[in-house]
Amino acid sequence: MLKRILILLTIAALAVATPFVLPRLHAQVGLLPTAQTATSPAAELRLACPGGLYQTGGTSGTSLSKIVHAGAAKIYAIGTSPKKVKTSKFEIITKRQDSAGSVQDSNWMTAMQLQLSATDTLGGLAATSCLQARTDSTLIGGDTTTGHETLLTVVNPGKVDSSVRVIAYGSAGRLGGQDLTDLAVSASTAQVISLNGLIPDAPTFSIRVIANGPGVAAFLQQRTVHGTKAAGLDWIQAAPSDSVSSAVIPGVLVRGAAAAAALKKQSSAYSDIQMVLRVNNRGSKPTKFTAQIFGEGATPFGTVLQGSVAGQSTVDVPISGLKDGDYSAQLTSDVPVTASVLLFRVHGTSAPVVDYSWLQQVPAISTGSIAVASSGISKISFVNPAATSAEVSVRFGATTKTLKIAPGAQSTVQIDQGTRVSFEASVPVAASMVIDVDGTLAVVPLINQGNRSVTTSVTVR
Amino acid sequence: MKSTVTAVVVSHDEPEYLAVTLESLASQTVAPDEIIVVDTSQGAECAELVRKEYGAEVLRLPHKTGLAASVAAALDNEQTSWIWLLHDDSAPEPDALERLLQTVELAPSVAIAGPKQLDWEQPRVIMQMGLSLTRGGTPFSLINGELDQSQFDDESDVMAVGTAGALIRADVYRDLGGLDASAPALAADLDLSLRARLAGHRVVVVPEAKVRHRGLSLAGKRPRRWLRTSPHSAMLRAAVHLRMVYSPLPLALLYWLFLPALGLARVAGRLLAKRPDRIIGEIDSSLWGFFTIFGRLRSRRRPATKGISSLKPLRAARSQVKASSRAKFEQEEAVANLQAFRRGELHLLERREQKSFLASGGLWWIAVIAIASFKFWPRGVAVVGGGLYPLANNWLDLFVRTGSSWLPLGGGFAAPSDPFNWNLLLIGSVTPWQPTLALTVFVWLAPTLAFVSAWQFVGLVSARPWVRSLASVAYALSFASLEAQANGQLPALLTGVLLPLFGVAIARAAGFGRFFSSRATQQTWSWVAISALLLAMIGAASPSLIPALALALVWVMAVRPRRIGYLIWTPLPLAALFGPYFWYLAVGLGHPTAALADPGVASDVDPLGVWALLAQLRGHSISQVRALDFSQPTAWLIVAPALAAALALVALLTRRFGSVAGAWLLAILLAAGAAIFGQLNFVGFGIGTSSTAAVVHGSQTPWMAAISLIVFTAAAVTLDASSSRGWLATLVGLVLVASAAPGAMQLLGGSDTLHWGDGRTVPAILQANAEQGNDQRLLVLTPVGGNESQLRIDAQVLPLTGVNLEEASTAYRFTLAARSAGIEYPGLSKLVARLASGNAAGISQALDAQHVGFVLIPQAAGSAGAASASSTQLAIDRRQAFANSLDSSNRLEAMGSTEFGSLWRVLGVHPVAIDRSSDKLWSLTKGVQLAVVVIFVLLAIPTTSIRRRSAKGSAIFDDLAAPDGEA
Repeated sequence: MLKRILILLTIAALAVATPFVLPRLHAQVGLLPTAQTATSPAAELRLACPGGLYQTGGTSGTSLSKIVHAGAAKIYAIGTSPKKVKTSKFEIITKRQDSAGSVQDSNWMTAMQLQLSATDTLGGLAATSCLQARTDSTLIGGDTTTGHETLLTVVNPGKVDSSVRVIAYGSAGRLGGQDLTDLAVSASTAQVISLNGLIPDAPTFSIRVIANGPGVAAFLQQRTVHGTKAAGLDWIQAAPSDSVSSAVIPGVLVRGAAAAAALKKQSSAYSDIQMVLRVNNRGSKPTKFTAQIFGEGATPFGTVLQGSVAGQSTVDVPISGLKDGDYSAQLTSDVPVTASVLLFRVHGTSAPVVDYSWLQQVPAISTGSIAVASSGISKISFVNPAATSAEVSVRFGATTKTLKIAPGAQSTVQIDQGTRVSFEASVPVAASMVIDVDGTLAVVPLINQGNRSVTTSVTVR
Repeated sequence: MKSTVTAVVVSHDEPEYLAVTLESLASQTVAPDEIIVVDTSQGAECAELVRKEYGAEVLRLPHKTGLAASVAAALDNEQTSWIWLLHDDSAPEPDALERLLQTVELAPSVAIAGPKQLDWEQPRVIMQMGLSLTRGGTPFSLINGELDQSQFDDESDVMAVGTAGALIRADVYRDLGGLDASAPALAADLDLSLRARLAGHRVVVVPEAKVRHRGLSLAGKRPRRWLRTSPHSAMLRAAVHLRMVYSPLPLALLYWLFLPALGLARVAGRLLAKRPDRIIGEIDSSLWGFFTIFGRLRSRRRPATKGISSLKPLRAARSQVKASSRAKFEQEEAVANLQAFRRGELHLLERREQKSFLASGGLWWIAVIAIASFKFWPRGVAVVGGGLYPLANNWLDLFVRTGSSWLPLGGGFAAPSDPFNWNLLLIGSVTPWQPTLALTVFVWLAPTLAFVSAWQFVGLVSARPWVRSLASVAYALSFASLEAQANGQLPALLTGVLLPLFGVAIARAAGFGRFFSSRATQQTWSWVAISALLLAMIGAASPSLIPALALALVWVMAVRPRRIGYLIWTPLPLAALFGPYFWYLAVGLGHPTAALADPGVASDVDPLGVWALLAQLRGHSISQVRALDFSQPTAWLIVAPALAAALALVALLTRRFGSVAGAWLLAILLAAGAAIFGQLNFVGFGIGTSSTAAVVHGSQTPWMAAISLIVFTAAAVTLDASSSRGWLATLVGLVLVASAAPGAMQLLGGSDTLHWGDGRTVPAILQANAEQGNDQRLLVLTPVGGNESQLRIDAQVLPLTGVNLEEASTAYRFTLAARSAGIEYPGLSKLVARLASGNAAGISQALDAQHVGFVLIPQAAGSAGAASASSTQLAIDRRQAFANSLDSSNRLEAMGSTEFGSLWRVLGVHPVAIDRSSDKLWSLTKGVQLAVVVIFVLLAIPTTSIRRRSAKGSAIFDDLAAPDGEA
């Protein structure tokens, strides 16, 4: 037995000692393939504008199936000799890559369209960015209740046909089944449909446009009529950013708050003059969200909104109690959401002009440019969503203004008419341009659309 | 007229035997009238002996002179009634000639009378008593090796007799033309008798006439020139000759035409009969017959009055042939047992009753483990995930990629395929209509199979069913097995199942173990072949184990030097499968160590140290175990398997401490090897999943399986030793059960990595395109990271059918570095850059050059536990941006989202034809590998005789006692 015990101890000692005598290798066997780096020039930048406002019922207003342009929009574009392609329904602006440039962004070319309408059925200022085509767009806004009309415009600026799915997220889930409708949008054409027929009497919804094929640019045209009088008009453009957990909506410039309140009190027909925060959750899990409305200056705090939104749904949260001032909305949520703010403007008291705009959440960017309308008042609202202060240098005409924006704060600067404005920020900021033409309102986000020359590091397997 | 007899003795360099023969001849009761000694010896010793000692006439002929020419020379001008032919090693009994003459005098129709040939050393054993042909035309000795108890003395008419001691009527001999010089030496006697028979004469055997015959020619004791080949080949040549001469001409020509093919078939038969030593003879005889056709045709010219069919009653019956074969096998086995007994290998002779697997309740255990594996139940045709991909859609496609030298990766990849593909082919062959199904079922049943396999192995150390069962269950539920199953590590899983079987096979081939070792040559060959095939399968699945297995094999040979002749063949199939692959990696790429990399899709696991490996810790290093919170039950689950290691150590205190110490040393060596191997970093970047790690550690899982096998077997020794005391056995058994409990829980938990589907790896439309003969390629682009200024993309160019497991080439992984610097891939990189930027300029040519017909952006991998929501969002954004870029190209038509990702079709493709000249069903490499595998499979398949013996058990003393009647 002693012999066996000795063997056991020897084996155990050997097992214990072995790790100490093993070599340390850490050698690599074989070589990793070297990634091939290749740079490709930026692709042709192509922006699609929806063109002039649409009017349902044809020119006579009685042909129910007809949707025709009502006037033409003015396009404000930046860029050297951009090529414009005007079709019967929309316009495309393209800019080819030149030999020197490798980046095509808003500094290279950007465009927005603006149209002021004052007819009985279309009254207000409608503006939107001209957009690059995307395969997945979310449009937050719209109302199809009585007196309100929402038209969906889908533009295919590409050279390949596209098949488009339209999904509507209402307050209680998807509206109209799995897909609201499907559209075939041929290359270089646009499709316009009225959502009032598809989702009638829906006060709250969001529209998602998914292209199976080349991307499309999607817009909603929203108009309101109070009795026989037009009471607001807007182009709702696709949200510039995808769903996020932390969204920033700049440009909440409240004016005429008292007039609006008076108007509401005066007539129940104006009960819809109510600022709202619309939040869409296209995911499957419900979420809670918190929105803070920040003002400018010494007492920046505006109000706080809290709510929850089920999956595949959209909710409206009223924003009340805001006095005139410059605000921005900052929203956080448990899961990524997309949000917008409906901002009203009431101008005048005897014959008040009512207009509104859906303000989209805007991604933060470091540089941006936009052409300024040649009429009205244009202001750019900057929001610094970062944790550090931002220094923003704004140039328009011969003027350069430098803004210092504290973390989470916002700042507004008025821009001269007809100029081209560009900015550079030390940290990415979110910005929107608010346009006021004779009391009518339009808000256009500053987004840096473009194509980059892509340097790819490709590892082939 | 008085009959005269001339004895013709043919001598060939065997003076000692010749002296005895001449002595016997001189002592005949009826002496021959004349004795002629024909000496064809090389030396003069025989002739001197005859002249000096016996004063007989000696006719010296050149040493190359054959039997026919020798006899013809002796009878030249000789006037005699009877010729008595004698070989120099055939000594007749004194009354032999008298008896023969009595017979022929009484029966005038007899032309040839042969004696009863007795063994030279043991005259009581009949060596030959008449010859015949089997149904297949093979010469057959009617009685061979039987004790002479006069039981055959009523035999008379036979088809033929041997020439040793045969009395032949001289006139008939001359009429027949004597012995045929064209016939091979061992066919001459049968040929002469047959011709005599066909000429209407009788050929009889005279049991009373006895001749002791040494049979030097057949025993291979004569110089090779006498038979002009080996005895076995000579016998086969004789058979070929007789078939070609005595079959109807059309049949003979047909036989000749197919002779090479028949030769190969007979080679297969020899392998099946575990006689690889006879392969050369079969090949030799078939080639000899094929190339000496004119000699056979010459022999056919001799006149015959009747057809060979008239001799049908004299042919050997099938039962006679069967009985003869069986007797030979049993004789061989008896001799082998006797030799083992003389060597002192008494354990080989020990016979101990063991309960069979079924009788031990094995089926219950199988059912329990299979049911416990319900989470791995094949819920679809194909299991994918981890290292698992589907196999080819049909068996033939799988066969094409096995042992092949070309793969449809990139623009085509010429290199040896993984040896592991042979394993995949074997698994896929179970369900040839859908090979993937067998793989899926295997993954489900792997722990069950590991149990069965381990049950056999543990049987080497214990006969107690419950000991075997407990240890085997513990092995089947060991961390290595279950981890490989949960992560889809097929090579490791296969190794875990096969290792115990290999242990059993090599133990039986080498004569290790307490029970069931092989004795007969056939059994040994069978086990050697099984060992060789298992070694090849394990080596192909886990190349890192090859050095360890080679060392173990060398050790086995050192311990059993008498078995080296067998065991030396064990590595042959592995060498055949691995040779081309190793050559490519070592010489072609200069990375010999790359051959150690695990085959298939690489996956990375943190390596463990020696202690953790020996203690069976469940994937945790010692430092990690130290950090565990043992107030939590999960911590105990991690360390519980260490109890088995403790039991294995206790086995050193049992009577079998010597063997256990050896096993522990092996385990420590394996753990050290695994620790070193785990430090090696192999290139893991290859074809297949996009999440493949760029560099992976050497996989320790197969090593862990080997260590587990040793540990649990040693634990079984402890359990076996404690079985005499009930309470102790219960305690030890409970400890072993406790060590297996974590494994059971893991098995019940299933796997998050694996999922089951229909076996497609690409969208259905691509599969349909491929089935319609579309030879285009699929470009799979996966954004994997980067920043705003630089996008990192993985690009794979695949066949439209996607990647199957057999195409996940290891050689390709190690070749990518060289290929990325070649001329093909930079062009592809530029194409990808253009597509990523949405810039369509110049992509048309590139798409055509790369044969790209479709582009796929795979779905983003599900967010891993550690991946933040923002990084997941970033990945989605990258994909979306990439998708938008592809959408903008008018050369690409979006086909929408599929279950595998977003798909685009390339419009207006004008591809350059892919060079498929190397993509062949067969290649030299595959042919050689398949031949070696088939040879060993044939050797491995148990023959009827072996099965019969195994079924009855083996009782050496039954065999040995019978001949002497001492039982």
